[in-house]
Amino acid sequence: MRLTSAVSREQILRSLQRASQEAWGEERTQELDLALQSAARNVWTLLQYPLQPTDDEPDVVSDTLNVHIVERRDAAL
Amino acid sequence: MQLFDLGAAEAVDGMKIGVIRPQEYLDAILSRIEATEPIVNAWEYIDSDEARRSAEELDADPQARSRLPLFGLPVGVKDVIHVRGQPTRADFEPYRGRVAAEDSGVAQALRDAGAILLGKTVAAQFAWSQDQPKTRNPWNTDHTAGASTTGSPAAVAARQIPVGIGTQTTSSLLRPSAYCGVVGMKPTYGRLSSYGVIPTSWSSDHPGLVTRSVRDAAFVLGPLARHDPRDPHSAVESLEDFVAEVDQGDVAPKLARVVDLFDLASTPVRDAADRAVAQLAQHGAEVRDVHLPMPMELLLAIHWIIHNGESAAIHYEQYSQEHDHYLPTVRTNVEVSELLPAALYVHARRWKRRLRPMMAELLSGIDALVAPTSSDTAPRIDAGRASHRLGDPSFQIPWTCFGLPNITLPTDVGMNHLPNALQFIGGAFADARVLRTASWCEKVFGSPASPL
Repeated sequence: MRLTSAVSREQILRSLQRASQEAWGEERTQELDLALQSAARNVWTLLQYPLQPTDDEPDVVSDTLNVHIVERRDAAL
Repeated sequence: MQLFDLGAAEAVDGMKIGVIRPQEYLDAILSRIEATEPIVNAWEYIDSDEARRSAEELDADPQARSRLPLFGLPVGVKDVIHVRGQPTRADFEPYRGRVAAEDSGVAQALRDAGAILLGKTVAAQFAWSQDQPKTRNPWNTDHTAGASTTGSPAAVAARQIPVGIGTQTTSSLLRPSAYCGVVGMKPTYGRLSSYGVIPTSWSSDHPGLVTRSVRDAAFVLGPLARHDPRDPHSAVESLEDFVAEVDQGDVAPKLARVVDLFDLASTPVRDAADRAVAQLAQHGAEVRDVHLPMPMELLLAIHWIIHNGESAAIHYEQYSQEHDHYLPTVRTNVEVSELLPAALYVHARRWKRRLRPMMAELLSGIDALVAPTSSDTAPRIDAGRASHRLGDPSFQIPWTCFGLPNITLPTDVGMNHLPNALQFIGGAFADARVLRTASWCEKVFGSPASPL
């Protein structure tokens, strides 16, 4: 799958269908059609929001806690 | 009023001062379950013998009444959470008969506080299935009780138990609680231990609780909200007195109406939510309108891509060996999730970090956001596609995704004899404030009568 904001939803869906055919077979891929369409919509939506290399690092699992610690520290200052 | 009608705090208070004995209360609960279970189907497993033994032990301990905050309180636990000595099936046949050797963090906290771990309530498979579980909505059995936490809210609504424990990874606790007309609370991520919970998506799995009142939610949350070093995400916090916060809640709250969700709700749900918010304003709540600081479709995409990536990592090996036992919607979820590139997962997590301060800003200067808990009331069990029969999860995603505390309250009973509900959302670790706000609003709405 090409990861770029320029890719169309149809191209993403075709990529997912090809990957599905390889993993699960032709018949199963047809059964998965609605779920593949839904996944393609989510992938396409996310790709419409590109980030530059120096933009945000990934959120980590405990970011909720980190944010709170920062808020508490700021409140205490 | 009969014993099974008592709320959690009332029942514990009665047992602590000796007006009610734990065995007597437990018997009333077990009789109520026997009478209503054929209608509701809320339970996967009940250990009444062990529960009776626990009640007798508590009654015989002279120190227990003063020492244990949940003295004699019977609790049902969602069947994806380990309880020592009880099976955890997660609606997955290969797990049948597997008995937990150790308590989960939540079960341990309940046990340490003197609660009686009565049994396991029905859960959708791996808390991830959209296939209809056996549980029915006590308000209208033609309609779903929601899922994946399905047995706990149905059992609490049917007065089978005063407290149920559940989990929410997308909308699995508040949406079913709204459908069943009970109070459902998802505390801040990390407040309750996830140790011993079969994972669905690590970064979004929240244990939570179901009660019939906000005060009961505060009453139970206190003893459960403690640090658990076995859970790497467990919060290290000095804890507030949640009950005291609720009891001091006489000041009308500052609320912000999340316009995006009102606009997306079905017409009957939007009308009911508008009426309920107008009621709050008439009683003195300050209400202003706000919009989500990012498009809803971006939030949904971030949540689903992270959820699917983590769930695929959890399941791929087991799925390759046991796929015949996976229910149809979980099979679909696993098979599609395995196809998504890892870079997308990381990209979604980068956006999650970027958006988190915007969400915090949305919550500044108010006590809570308010919105309908779900876009519609409980769907019929035979409605449309299988994936639609448990209802729309999207109204929970903005808060689950960022680990924010929220609570749902019934506002009234509407079409098809089904409850309407509003949710109140607070900032990270503002659990006490959310409880205080919800308690004030609950006094305006009143509590619905028993559906059965």
